[in-house]
Amino acid sequence: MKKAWNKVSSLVTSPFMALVLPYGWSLLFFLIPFFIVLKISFSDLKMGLPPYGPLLEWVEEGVLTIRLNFSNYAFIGTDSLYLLSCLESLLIALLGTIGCLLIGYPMAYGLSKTSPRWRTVLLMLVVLPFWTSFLLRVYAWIGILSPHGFINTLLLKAGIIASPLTLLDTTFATVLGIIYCYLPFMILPLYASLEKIDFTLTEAAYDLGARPFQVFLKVIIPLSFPGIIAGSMLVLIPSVGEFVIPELLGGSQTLMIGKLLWNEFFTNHDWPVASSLAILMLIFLIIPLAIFQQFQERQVRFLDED
Amino acid sequence: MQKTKRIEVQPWQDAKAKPYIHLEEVSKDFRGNVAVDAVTLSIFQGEFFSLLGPSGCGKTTLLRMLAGFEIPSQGKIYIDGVDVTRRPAYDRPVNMMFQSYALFPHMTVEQNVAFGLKQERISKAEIKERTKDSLHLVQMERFAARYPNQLSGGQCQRVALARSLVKRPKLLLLDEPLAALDKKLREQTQFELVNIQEEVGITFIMVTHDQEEAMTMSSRLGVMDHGRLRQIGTPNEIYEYPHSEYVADFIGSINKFEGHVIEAEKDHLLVESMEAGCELYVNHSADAPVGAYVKVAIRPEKVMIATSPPEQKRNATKGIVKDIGYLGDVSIYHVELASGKIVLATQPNLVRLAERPVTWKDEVYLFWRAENSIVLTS
Amino acid sequence: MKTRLSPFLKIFLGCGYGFLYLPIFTLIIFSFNASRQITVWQGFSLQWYEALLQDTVLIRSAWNSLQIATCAATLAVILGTLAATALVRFGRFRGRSFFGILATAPLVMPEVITGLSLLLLFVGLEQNFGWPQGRGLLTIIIAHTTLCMAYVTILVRGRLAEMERSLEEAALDLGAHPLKVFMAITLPLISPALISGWLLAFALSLDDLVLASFVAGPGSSTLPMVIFSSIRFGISPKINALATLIITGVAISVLLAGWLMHRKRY
Repeated sequence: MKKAWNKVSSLVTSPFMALVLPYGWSLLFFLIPFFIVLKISFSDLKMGLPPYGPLLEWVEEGVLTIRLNFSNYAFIGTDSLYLLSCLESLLIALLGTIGCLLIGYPMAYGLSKTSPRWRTVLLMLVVLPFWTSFLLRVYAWIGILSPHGFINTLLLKAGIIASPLTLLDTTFATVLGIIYCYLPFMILPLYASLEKIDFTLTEAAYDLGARPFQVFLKVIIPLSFPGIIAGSMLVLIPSVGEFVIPELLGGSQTLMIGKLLWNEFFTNHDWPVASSLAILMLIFLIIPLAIFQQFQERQVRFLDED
Repeated sequence: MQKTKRIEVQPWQDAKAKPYIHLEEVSKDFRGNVAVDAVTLSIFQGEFFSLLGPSGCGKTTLLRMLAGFEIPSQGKIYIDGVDVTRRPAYDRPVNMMFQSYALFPHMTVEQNVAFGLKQERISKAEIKERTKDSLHLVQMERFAARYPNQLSGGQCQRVALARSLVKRPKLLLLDEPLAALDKKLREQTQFELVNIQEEVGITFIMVTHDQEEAMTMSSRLGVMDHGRLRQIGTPNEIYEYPHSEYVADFIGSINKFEGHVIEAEKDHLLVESMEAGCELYVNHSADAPVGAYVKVAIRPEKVMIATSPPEQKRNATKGIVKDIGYLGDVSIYHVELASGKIVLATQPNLVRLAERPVTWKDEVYLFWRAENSIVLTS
Repeated sequence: MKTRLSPFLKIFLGCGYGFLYLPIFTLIIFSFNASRQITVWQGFSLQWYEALLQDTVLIRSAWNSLQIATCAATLAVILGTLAATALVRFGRFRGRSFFGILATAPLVMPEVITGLSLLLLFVGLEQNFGWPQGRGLLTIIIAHTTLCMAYVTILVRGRLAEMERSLEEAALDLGAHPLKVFMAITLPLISPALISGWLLAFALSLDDLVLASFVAGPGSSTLPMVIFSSIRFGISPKINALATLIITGVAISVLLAGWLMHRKRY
């Protein structure tokens, strides 16, 4: 009896079983959907539910045709709106990433130097905003940036400006929103990387005659490179496809792919075009995604080999 | 300082004795990297056996195969006559004491020790009693309710030992058990471990890179190199009769002279050595015909120093004292021969330093007995 | 030995935290505003909190969100832990790097893409297999689980890798078969990661707008969806009041969790 139970339990905990559930789930609900998106991007728009035509059709007895409709891609390829939005999305995401780096790096650096007593608390304080609602934090900025908002009211009352500044519904606001919301994503990997640095290396550099700024530039920054990459990818990749921030803060001037996709889907009900946009986004993101995965693998190898 | 183990019977010398642990041509390779290479080994019940070798020599892999954490790529493992080669670790009558002790941090000392017993179908009363006895054996009863993070390294080690002994395994494996302890504690623990082993009568197999430890504690030891077992024997055999240059070099220090065989008989060997500046006479035969190139070795403590020429002509040479290493109890003399070779001679400091008869730059004569020579052919 | 914190860094840190928390404080302060304005203070009032309590649509959507978040977080922890265990403890198996990528990609993938793709999957499945019948809480749970799984995997993976492997080997050596080892040794020791994973998944699910919008059905609106559509109507202190409640709730639970973990330090 014990032997049978042992056999059963070793099967249940064998790699096969523990792997089947998450692997199967990911395949079904993450990977396969991408192929469906690819398929839909080639079909044409139809009325009704679902609003797309079939890809494979039995025309007559035993004849199977495949209809690949490239018009969606032609459409978005030729319409400058979509091309512009791609570029603008990339630009905004890049600006946001750089902003996060500029603010996040000194913060992470400072954090890595605080005494351990305070550090847990301070780290928690960095993460806390992330746990409160994303939506509501973006909403807060509406209140701050609007013509009747916090900043304008303050500046008007102080007499610094005569009429309200247009801060909301601008690209500036979008970038600001991205920086605000994604800052914790930048700080944490940076902190993790900086914390691991062996500070005897900087001491050695000082000992060899380097000045603090040189040490920072030539020793600390290169050593924290993995953290920089990780943080940047964690900010850049999702930002490119952001919807909420450009929608609430960017106004009609800001063109980002995420917003366009949303509109194609919810407003125009044009699923095929929305799908082609998604594929386009994926193509744009392949390189950053690959970098991120490479970095992940190296981290994993570092963790697993011991 | 060696604690001589009183083994009345030396089972490995009895051809009819059945080995308790037997490894037959066991090999393990990891994706082309051969960690263990065709090891055949027999260990008898009640032995304290050590596997000795530098890091990377495969001793830990061999231990893990005995424990059941690795499956041999080839070969078989028998414990008390049963083939356990493919049995998983939880199904073997083997327990292991890990180098890091591996005490479960979320359990008390008592729970740690009782864990193994809980996996068997034993009554709660018996578990409690056996746990108590095991903790008593290692003198850790007072700490039964403490958690591992409240114990010192030495205390953790005792608990780990109690935990692995409480199941009364047929074989206990120890993975560098003393590596994390400081010197004084290590010496003390060496004796304790040997005592406990004698008391419970369980077969121990220990892995270590510390030769002193292996020599002190073991009934027999096996020297490993790059996955191969180079020599097995009692500490005495390994030290005084090494079969290969590797083993001779590995344990302690040794002087080696190169030369050619000029006489090879059944009862002696005569070697001409330019290096030694004399003829080397060995009083046993060796696997080397006339004209063969061999190395004759002699341990530094077997080399005698004199200020006047000795009577013997063979196994005697002379040189200049180049350096003296003072170790308090002994002095190691580095003597340079005419050929430029440095010979080490270790002498106990029978008199105090100021009265030492030999000093730097003195010309001295070195000689040794033929019985102490070792011929190294590999 | 680390050098002291320079004044420049201290000030920068202070400003950084200020930047992070100022908007949150404005939200909280103006939830108590007596007037409809959210930028001009006109006296203390709790009227907006009262209005909240009477908003049935909001309350129903909050209830939906809580149910979804609980289910999704629990599923995510189970799947994520299994995935992490497989990745860390099972050595090199075929397809391991691919699985590693698959397990962590949802983390960075823009949600509009995952949302769209999942919806298309559900529609396709419904067409061909009859399941899932329409979209609702179940589809949202599936979507959130898929996203949150990735976070849990990373958290658990880190903790597992930190854990001494010889502890599990020692348990095996003492006679426990692998499942027992997992239950008695591994799980208790990685429990901090499981708990924080659950909390993180819960928060992410509660807060998600995009995924839910794509895969929700009629009658299964989530709280973020309702908030979003009301923001489109215009800003209102009622939303501030809601924000304050959420922030307070989160702050308390995070502090609680942090305190609990602190006590459990082995």
